[in-house]
Amino acid sequence: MRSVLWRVVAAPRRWADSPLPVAVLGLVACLLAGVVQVAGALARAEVVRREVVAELAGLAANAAALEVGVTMPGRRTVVVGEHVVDVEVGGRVVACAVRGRDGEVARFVAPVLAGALPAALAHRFASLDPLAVATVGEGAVVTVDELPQLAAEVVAAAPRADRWAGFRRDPAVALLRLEGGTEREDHVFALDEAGTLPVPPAGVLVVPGHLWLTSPSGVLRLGLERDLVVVVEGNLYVAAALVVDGPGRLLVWARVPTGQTAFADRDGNGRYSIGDRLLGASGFDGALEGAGGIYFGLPGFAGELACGALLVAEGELQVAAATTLHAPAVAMYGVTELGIGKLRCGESEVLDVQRDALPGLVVRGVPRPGRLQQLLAPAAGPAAAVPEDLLYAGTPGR
Amino acid sequence: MNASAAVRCERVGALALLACGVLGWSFLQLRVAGSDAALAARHTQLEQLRVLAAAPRGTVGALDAVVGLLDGRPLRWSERDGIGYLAPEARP
Repeated sequence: MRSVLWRVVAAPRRWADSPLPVAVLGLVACLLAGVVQVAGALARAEVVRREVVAELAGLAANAAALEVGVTMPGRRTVVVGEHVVDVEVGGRVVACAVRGRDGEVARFVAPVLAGALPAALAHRFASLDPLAVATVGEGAVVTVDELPQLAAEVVAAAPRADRWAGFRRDPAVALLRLEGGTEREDHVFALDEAGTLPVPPAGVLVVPGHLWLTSPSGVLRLGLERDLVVVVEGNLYVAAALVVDGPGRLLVWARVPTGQTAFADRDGNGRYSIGDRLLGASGFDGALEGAGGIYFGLPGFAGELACGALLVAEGELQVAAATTLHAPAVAMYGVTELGIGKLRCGESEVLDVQRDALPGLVVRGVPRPGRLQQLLAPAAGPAAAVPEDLLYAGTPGR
Repeated sequence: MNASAAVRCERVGALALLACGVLGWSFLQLRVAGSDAALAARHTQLEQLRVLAAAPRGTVGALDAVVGLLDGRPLRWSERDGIGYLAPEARP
């Protein structure tokens, strides 16, 4: 027994006496290290290969969906390069199953869109006024035809914010910030603990008056499950940075309702006074604070602002604070910068207007498939896995 | 063969084995580094392709950056109803 134990204990010492076993051990270690390295390289290559295959499958699905179109419901098979794509066109959804040369199947789905969004939303900033674009230092001068338009019937049927959870009237908010307050109703967000704003089925809400973005912390976080268009029939007053937590996007449209007037508030007092410039009207009418304007900061506001919502202003953009836009903005008139006010565009993504949709906007062109989304569970039926927010009611093209 | 010759042979053999191991490992490391570099380039091409695919029309010139680079697979620009798109073609 002792001799066996002694042999085991003494074995390494005996191996060390000869360099050959040590060399064999070194060789094995080198081989193992090599195998590990090669396995890692193969795994990394496989990841990229899968990404390439998925990207090419996406391109093939996109090409097939566009080639087939959405006007004829039914199933068709299209060959795109080395891919065979089964395209199934439904009333609201297009589903594509792509088979590659290696037999892998990738599935994609896209909503059927009634048409394209207006071209003005394809820029970080767009305006009819070249001076406004020069002031912001980025963006595009657009024509009237490229401006967005609200679908009148959708807006008419939209719920009012004063009867919708997530908003409340606040008679004090204007008095605290503007001398004399405002003449029309002021509204603020009244979010639940989760900070989520409920979205109506059609995705459009109307604020009958002004909307104020305020927050004690200086940052207003808004959660949206689906895209929402808020039509403000008055002014939008931005007194806090706005962060929109998706997946939904927020578009705030400052509108000039009948009987109200938009103006450029040259003196920044928040009301129409001598020296202010009327926009699209020969005489002033309505509430003194006007409508259709977006105010970034108010007199006395010293902080910086950021806005994560898409904006459309039928009136002037009034900038009294350093403001960064993190989503596309459209100003139908100009930009008035007051004091330290400076408006600039952040690194926001522009909209793919040909393949994207926002509720409540008039669309252009022919019906088409929207942006394709890959379905990660191959076994699942495409239609069953379609997210609800893909399914906007189509807005008739003009 | 006397004992000292056997020991010498053993040492030379061990040295040769170790050298083979180290050389082989170095060779593999070089090959893996080359493969990783090619992979990084391929990933860059993929990112370029993604940007191109997402970009609106008017970037046709930029297509040269990725044409034929992903597995030698050609791509082409097409248009339908005013919507430009990138489509993969069969490898030649």
